[in-house]
Parts: sequence; C-alpha cells; structure tokens
Amino acid sequence: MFRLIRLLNTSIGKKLLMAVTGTLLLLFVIGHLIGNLTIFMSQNALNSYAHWLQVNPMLWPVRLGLIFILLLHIYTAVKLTRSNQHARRTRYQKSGFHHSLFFSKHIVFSGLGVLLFIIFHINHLTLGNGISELLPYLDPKGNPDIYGRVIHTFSTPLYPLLYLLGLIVLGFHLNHILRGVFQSLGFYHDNYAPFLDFLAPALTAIMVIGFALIPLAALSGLLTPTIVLPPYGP
Amino acid sequence: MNFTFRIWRQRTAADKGQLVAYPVSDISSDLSFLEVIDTINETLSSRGEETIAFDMDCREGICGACSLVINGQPHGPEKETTTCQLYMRHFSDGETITVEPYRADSFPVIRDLVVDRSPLERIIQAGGYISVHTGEAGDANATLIPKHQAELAFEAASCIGCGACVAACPNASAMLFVAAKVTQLALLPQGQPERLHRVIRMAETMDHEGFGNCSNHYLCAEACPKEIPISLIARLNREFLAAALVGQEFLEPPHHSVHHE
Repeated sequence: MFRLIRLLNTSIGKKLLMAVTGTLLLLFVIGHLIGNLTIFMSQNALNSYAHWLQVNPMLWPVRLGLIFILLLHIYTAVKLTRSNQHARRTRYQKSGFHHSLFFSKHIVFSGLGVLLFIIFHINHLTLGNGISELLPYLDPKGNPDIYGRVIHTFSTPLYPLLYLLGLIVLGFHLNHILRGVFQSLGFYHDNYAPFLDFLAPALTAIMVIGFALIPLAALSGLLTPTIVLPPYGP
Repeated sequence: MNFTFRIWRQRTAADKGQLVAYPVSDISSDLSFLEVIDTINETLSSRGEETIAFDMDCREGICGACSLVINGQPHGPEKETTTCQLYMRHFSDGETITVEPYRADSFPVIRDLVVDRSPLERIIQAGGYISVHTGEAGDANATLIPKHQAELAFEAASCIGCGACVAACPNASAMLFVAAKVTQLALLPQGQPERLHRVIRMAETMDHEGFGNCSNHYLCAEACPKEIPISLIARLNREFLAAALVGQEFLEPPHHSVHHE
C-alpha cells in the first residue's frame, strides 16, 4: 500500500495511472465496438446481445467500475494539467515550435470533447432521452428492438453527423495518446518503435471507422428499418 | 550582415524585464552567435551602459553552459547545435532575432539571459553518481561491457545537462535529462550497485524541484543539441516502475536534497 501511495505521488506514477485507466477504458470501447457490430449480422443478433447485457448480473458492477475508472482518469488528468501549468507560468514572447501550442491544448480539449460525447451518447441511446417513442417496440422474439431504435435514430443526417463528430474527437484523443501509453508503461523501445508507431494510427482508424459504419449504414439505407415512424429532425 | 537583436533585459530576479532592440551592422557571417552578443556588449560598455549577462564557458559545444532561446527555440534553429556553435550564416540578412532566457518556474531568471539551473545539479546530487574504490587505477578492460551496451550508454552520456529539454517542453519537464542520466549508468556494470536508489531519488527529486510532467510532445528531443533519443524516457519509466514495484529501496524514506538559496 505504501508503495502504491508513494508511486502515485510521483509524476511517473500519475502517468502510469493515466495509461492504465486509459487502457482499461480503451478495452471497454473495443468490446463496445465488437458488440455493436453485431448489428450487421441480424436484428436478432444485436437485440439478443443487448438483452444478454441487460439481464447480466455483472452489468452494474462493470458499469460502476467503468465510471470509477473514468473519474480516476479525469481526476488524474486535471491534477497533471494543473501541475504542468504551474511548472511553466511565463511564456516565450516568440514561439519557435508553432505546433506546440496546438498539441499541448489538444489532448485536454479532445479529452473534454470525448467526455461531452460520452454524456450525450449515454443520455441519448442508453437512457433513451429524446427517443422515448421508440422504447416500447419489441422484436419478434420479445426482446426490446435496439436494432430498430438505432436504425430509426440514424435515418436522418442530424444524429449521424453528431456521432461522426464525436468519433473524430475520440480519434484525435486516441491517436495522440496511444504512443504515449507505451511510453508511460515503459514498453516503448527502439526495437519495437516501428510497430508501436504503426499500432497507434491503425487502432485509431479501426475504432473510428468501425463505429462510423453503423450510422453511415443506417443513413444510406443499407440496414432495413424495423420501426416505421416519421423520421427525426430536418 | 545586418540584424536587429531583440534581447531580454532584466536587472534582477524580482524585476519585470522586457525585450530591448539592438541593431547590429556589418557583422561577418562567420561570427558565432555569442560573439555577436560580445560585440553588442563592447558597444554597451564603451557607452557606459550595463552589458548583457549570459551563460557561456567552453564555446566548443561540449560543456552545456550556454543556453538562450533564440527565435523561440532553445539553442536556436540549427539541429544538434548548441548556441555557442551557432553562426550568423545560419540566419538571413536583415533578420530580427529574438533572444530570451530559458523559461521554467524551476529555472528562475537571475539576470538578463542567465537562469538558475541548479535544480539539475540537485537531481545529479540525488543519484547521478557511482561509488568507486579509490587507490591505484584498475586494469583497463577488466570489466567487460558488450559493445552495443557501451554504445547505448555513451549515447545517453552525451547529454551535457544544458537544460534545453526543459526550456523546450511546454510543461517544463526534465524527463529527457533525467532519462539520459539514469540510462547512462543503468546500462553499465559500474552503475549497478546504486541502480534502484538512483532512479528513485533522481525521479523524486525531479518532481520535488517543480518540473512538469511529460505529456508526449517530444519537443525536448527536437531541441536537444546532443540528440538524446526520446525512447530513453520509456527506459526511465521502466527503471522507475521496476524500482517502485519490487525495490527494497522504495520502502526507505524519500531523499530530497536540501535547498541552498
């Protein structure tokens, strides 16, 4: 316990905490993507997967765990950012590395953007605010028709646009930080540099494109709607 | 060649300070950057004005004494070059050149372009050393070191401790400096007895001195006049995490060297 407290009081320890919590959150996002992609198998595949999640006794422990990890990630980020601002309070009158300002703000802003996106997404598709008229629909097997909800929601450009925007922000966040994760964990080594430098953009691309396929497929009519209601918005 | 130098003037640590313009004309392109400041100082001195204070020593690019942030870049625009090895031919005629001191809360300005870099000394004092037996010199090559290992250690050892990494980092982080100093000794047999103590003490002293945290901008490596590779930061993390997880040394009370004001 002493080791852990002392470790987390150092800058290297805090960076480790950022990397570990970030990696756990990323693993969740990967799992979330795999689960969501069942939408391309069939209506039944997605709906029974969603039903399995809903009745799973581990649902709330995992949810609470994820919220705790997310809060820890945010708390540590705030602490690190504040100590960084404290370490350099006088700016240079002339900035030579013109990209530095963009990047230094970038990770905090993209993190903030991802947080807003998460809140919006949970409120929208998980809690069902704004799509209440879709909630009563069941599929032929008697499970709530998540498939129908998703396709109907994404049938007009407004929501696909908002989700794509959120995904781009998530992409920026992942791409900038993945290499840093390996550094913080101490894995980064010249021998593996080409692989790790490839992994960051590759994993980011898989995440962003994977998730983007769903609203794009729904918008383009590739997926057949199962709930027929007047479409949303413009 | 003609230039306008905008140089940071600050009488004391408490003063606010400001950039002052000094036009220089008919300068040889083979003059070094510091020689131009010498020239300006001679003019100031002849007029009975205060000369510009700046750090320098060897003027051969090997001691780490010179500093300066030139046009926003520590040691100026040339890669792998210290300020003293920068020549006016690297600039274009008529250019306005802005010269500022290193900026970091850990490096307070003492006067003009001189900053207090003693936090780096205190990090070294905390663990950047090895214990040796005194007495007669040992046989050469008595300790065998694989060539590859020796080269890596030497690459890290080329750090001259100038602090450009801190000056370049938006967070004023000293990670690259500490990484170089830890790596250099961790890779060699002579560094093994104090290996865990060293990384714990140096990393904790770095935090204690108020340097920021690495947030992966890698401007440190871009600014480094000795091209210390960025991968050494991962090695520092690896060394420190291993020491924190299993080192008996991590259970001992933290070492923070005493501040000498």
